[in-house]
Amino acid sequence: MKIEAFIKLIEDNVDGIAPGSLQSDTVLTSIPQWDSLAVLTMLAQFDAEYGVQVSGTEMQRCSTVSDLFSTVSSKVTKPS
Amino acid sequence: MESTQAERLLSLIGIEARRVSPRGVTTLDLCENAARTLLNGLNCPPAAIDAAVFVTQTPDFSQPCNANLLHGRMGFPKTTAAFDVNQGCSGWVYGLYLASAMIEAGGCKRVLLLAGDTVTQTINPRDRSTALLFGDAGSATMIERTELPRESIFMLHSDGTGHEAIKVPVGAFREPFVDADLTERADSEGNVRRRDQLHMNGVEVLNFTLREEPAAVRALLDAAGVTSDAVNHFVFHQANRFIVQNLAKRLRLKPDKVPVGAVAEFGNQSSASIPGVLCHDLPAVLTAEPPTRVLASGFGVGLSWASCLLWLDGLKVCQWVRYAGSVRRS
Amino acid sequence: MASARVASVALRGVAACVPRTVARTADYAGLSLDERLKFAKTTGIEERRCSLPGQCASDYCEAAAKRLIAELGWNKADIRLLVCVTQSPDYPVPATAVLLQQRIGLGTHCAAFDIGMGCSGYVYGLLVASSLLGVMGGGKALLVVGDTSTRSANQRDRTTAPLFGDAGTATALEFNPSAPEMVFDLNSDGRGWEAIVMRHGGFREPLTADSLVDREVAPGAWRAPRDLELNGIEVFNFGLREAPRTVEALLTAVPGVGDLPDFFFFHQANMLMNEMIRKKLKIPAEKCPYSLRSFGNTSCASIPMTMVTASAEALRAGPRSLVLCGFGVGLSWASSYVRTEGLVCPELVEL
Repeated sequence: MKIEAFIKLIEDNVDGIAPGSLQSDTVLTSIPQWDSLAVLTMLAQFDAEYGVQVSGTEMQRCSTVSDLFSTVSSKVTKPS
Repeated sequence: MESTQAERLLSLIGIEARRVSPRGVTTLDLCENAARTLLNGLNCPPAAIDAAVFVTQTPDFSQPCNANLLHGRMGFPKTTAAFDVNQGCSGWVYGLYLASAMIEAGGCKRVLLLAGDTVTQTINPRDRSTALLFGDAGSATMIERTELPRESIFMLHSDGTGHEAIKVPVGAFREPFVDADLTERADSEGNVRRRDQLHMNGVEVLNFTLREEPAAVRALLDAAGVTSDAVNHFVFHQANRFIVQNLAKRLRLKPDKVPVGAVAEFGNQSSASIPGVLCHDLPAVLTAEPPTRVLASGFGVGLSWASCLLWLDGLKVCQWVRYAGSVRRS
Repeated sequence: MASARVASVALRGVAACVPRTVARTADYAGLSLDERLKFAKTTGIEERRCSLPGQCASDYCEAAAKRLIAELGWNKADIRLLVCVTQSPDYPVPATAVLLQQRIGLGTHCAAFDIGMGCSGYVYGLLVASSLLGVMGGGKALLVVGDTSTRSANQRDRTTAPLFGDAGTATALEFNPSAPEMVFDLNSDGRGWEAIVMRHGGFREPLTADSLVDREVAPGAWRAPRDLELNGIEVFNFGLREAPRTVEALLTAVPGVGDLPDFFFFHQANMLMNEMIRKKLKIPAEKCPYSLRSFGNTSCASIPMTMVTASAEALRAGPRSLVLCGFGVGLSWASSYVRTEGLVCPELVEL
């Protein structure tokens, strides 16, 4: 899984985030649109796209986009 | 001192001691203790429990329910169904009926029935109509499918016209805590209580019991096609000794068939009272091999009453245990 | 517990009742104007019904039950069982079902008790009531299911208050040896108990003055220890994980279910979660009705509320196969496969 596709997934699904505005080192809480509804929307997308669930505690530990990417990609089981 | 109706009743209740849960201990804790004792004694792993039914009127929270909390504590598998039943004195018989029905439906082989209350936590110590009557308890009963011919017969009743006889008016949704007047008030007999504490009209409850219970027991025996001679033990909810002995007289039951030891030692234990009798008064006969015919009958809050005729044989576990830190008040 | 099957019990009718008072997401003061629009879009909730102080879920259940009995033309003396599923009882003691036995006018031979469950409560209640009616071997039963969740949530808590609406429902069950089997799958996970909880007010933490003190637990979210607490992420993950699984397990257990059932009635949590579940199960949208838009999350009543407000005509018109799935507080989740014949389904009652 590439981080570029991951970032695009966020930009496509959270209302108001301009394409290309997120970087891997962007701090999540600095994104104005990153509210509780955005979090739930993305959790739904991680499940739909990658078959992955992220817990509340894991979300809290993610500070940047790249932290979130690492958390999600580490849970993706390798295709057989 | 003037002897009021309540005081006369008190002298007849025959309660020598009561058990009071220590501060911070709830019905959930008591029932968990009973459940662990039971499962250990039966050598039954948590994974073998198909459903947990928790009968209580004193749950830890208004949500989630006690059965779910117990599920987490005991480590039952996800496939174990769990739910609470709000019922009091008739609750063990109601719960037994539910458990049996779930087993009949085929989804369950083993159901764990928890039943109990910490009534002392709902009572005002200056309310002489309730303060000395109740003891806290939790019970655990294992109900399992059998191929043996062991038919149980149940009859359940309810009468909401009597709902004021035993009530806690404040604390749920009709009269929320936040809007309520919670000053302690004395009633006409000088009993002091708050509106979020248990109110009991002893005379109403006594009249109800003597009106409905004998008829209910006779109807059950008729339905089973037997007389009281065919029943080895009559296990009545241990409201107080006076009521139980009065019922025995009305039904012309031999006194040695009607245990009252539990009420003397523990007081009125709400839905745990019937299992309290089984474990305190009858363990020797119930753990012996020959099948024993038991008629159990609970009656009280609701108003609600329920009776069942059961075969009990060779119970592998039938004991009562003391919860560490509980106080025996006499 | 393996899948449970209950034979000889038919689901004959469903009725629902709500308070008249409407609360609109567009008016909710705890969110900014923009946030209200986004909330309505994400959750699908635009309006909810709110009980007034002194009104209880039992009032709505009573009205629904009376309406249903009248429409069915039932003799009340035939009703042998009244099961009341609620987490908003009238009193701590006695049980609300016994109060309703009197108010609806049922005989004393009618057994009555409460089941204290929430979102999974309708399916749990259906299993319990139908199993009991099955062993009773005859007669009729009423399953009344309702909550006043708006009174459990703190109005200043933006994570809970705008989600919930109040309702009471009644479901009629009748013993009938030729009724098709109902199939059930029930589950629990008590380790997730903190995901949806009201911490103070029970016996673990009895109410004190402190229990009523609002605290700002998150920006713009005010809550007292006795108010409903909902961990959105935990509940979301849980619903997404378990609801599809129980439905799949259920359909595997139903013998000969060829085509997809006619309707899937899910507990109405929020549109985002519910749509994810629907898509995971590949259920076409027209088979998955909603009552979220006008009534919000009505807790244990949400499945019958959706049946009555979104699908009454279709349910009345002929034989239908239904999947019911509730999931939430406990954590608890359950699903059921039920076949119905021309359900009696009166119009929504308002009190």
